[in-house]
Amino acid sequence: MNWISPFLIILATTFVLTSPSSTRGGTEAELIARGRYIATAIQGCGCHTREKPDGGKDENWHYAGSPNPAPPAGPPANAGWTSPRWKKIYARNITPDLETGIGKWSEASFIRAMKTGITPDGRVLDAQMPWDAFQKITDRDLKSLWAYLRTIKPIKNTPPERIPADQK
Amino acid sequence: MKSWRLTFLALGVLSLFGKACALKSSEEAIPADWEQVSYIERGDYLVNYLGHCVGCHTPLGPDGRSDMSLYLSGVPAKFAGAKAGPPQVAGFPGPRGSRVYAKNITPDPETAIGRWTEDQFVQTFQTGVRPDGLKYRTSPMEWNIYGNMKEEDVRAIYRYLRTIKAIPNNAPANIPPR
Repeated sequence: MNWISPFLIILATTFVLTSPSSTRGGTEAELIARGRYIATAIQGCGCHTREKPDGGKDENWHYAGSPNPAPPAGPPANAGWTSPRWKKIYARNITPDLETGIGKWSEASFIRAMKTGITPDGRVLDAQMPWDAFQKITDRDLKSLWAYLRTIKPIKNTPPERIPADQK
Repeated sequence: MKSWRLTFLALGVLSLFGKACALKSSEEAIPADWEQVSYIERGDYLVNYLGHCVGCHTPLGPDGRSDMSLYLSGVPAKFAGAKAGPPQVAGFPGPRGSRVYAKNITPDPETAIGRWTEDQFVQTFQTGVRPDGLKYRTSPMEWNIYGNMKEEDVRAIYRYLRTIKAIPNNAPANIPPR
C-alpha cells in the first residue's frame, strides 16, 4: 500500500495550489487583466494624468505626469501639489518610457517603491504619493498593476523637479 | 501498516482543509477573485488602500497627513470660499473658476450619505447621478473610471462605509464653471 502515499501528497499539493485562498499571482495575461481592472475602475492613478482645459483627463498624456514647464496655477495634476515639505511637487511619468518614465524599473523595484516610497534612483516619495496606504495593497494586486503598467503606451515627458518648502 | 496510518492522516488533514474552505464560503458568498473574505473587509481594502478614497475625502492635519479624527467627512464647511491651499481645503480648481470639494461620505444622515440605500449608492456609481438628481460633472472624482467598478465592489464600499463613525459636516457646495 506504499504506492498510495505519494499519490495523496500530489493530490494534497494540487488542492492547496488551486485553492482560492492561495496568494499566487496567476498567468501574465490574468495579471494584466486584473491590473487593467484596477487602473480603469478602482485606482485610476488620476494624479499622474494632466487635465485638458475642460477639466477632463488629457488621454494623449495618459500617466505621463505633470507638464514641463508646469503652469503656475490650475489643477494639481498640471500645476503640482503642495505639502508641508514641498512648495510644489509634481506627479511623475509612470509610463514605460525608458528615459523619462519607469521603463527601466523591475517588478521588484516597483513593489519596493509602492511599499516603502523609495524609488530605484534613491528618491524618497512624499506622502502626496500615498505609499503609506499603498503598502497595504496585496502583492497580487501590486504585481497586477505593474504587469498592466508595462502594457501602456510609453510617453516622453520629464515633469519638473519638486521645489522644497523653504525655497523662494 | 505505517503507510496506512499516514494515508488516514493525510485524508483527515485534507477533509479538515476542505471543511474550512466550505465554512468560509458559506458565511457569505463572495466573488472568487477577491483576496478578502467578506464584503466589509473588501470595502475596507478599497476605501483605505487600493482606491484610497481617504486621500481626498479626509481633511489634513498640521503634518499634511489625513486627520483620522475627521475620517472621510469631506472638506470642512469652514473652508468654504478658501482661495488657496491643498484640495482638502480649497477644493480642486477646474475650468473657468469652478471648484469641486470632496464630500462627506460618513453615515451622517443630515450632512452625508446616511440616508442613501445600498442600491442608490450603486446607481450613483453606475450613472454619475446622485439620489437627489444632481449630476456629477467631470472632476478629480473620476466617475468615468469608478463607473467601471464591478457592482460587488461598489456594494463592498457601501457596506464598509456603513460601519464608520458618522461625522456631521456640510462640505462646501461645488462652484460651477462661469
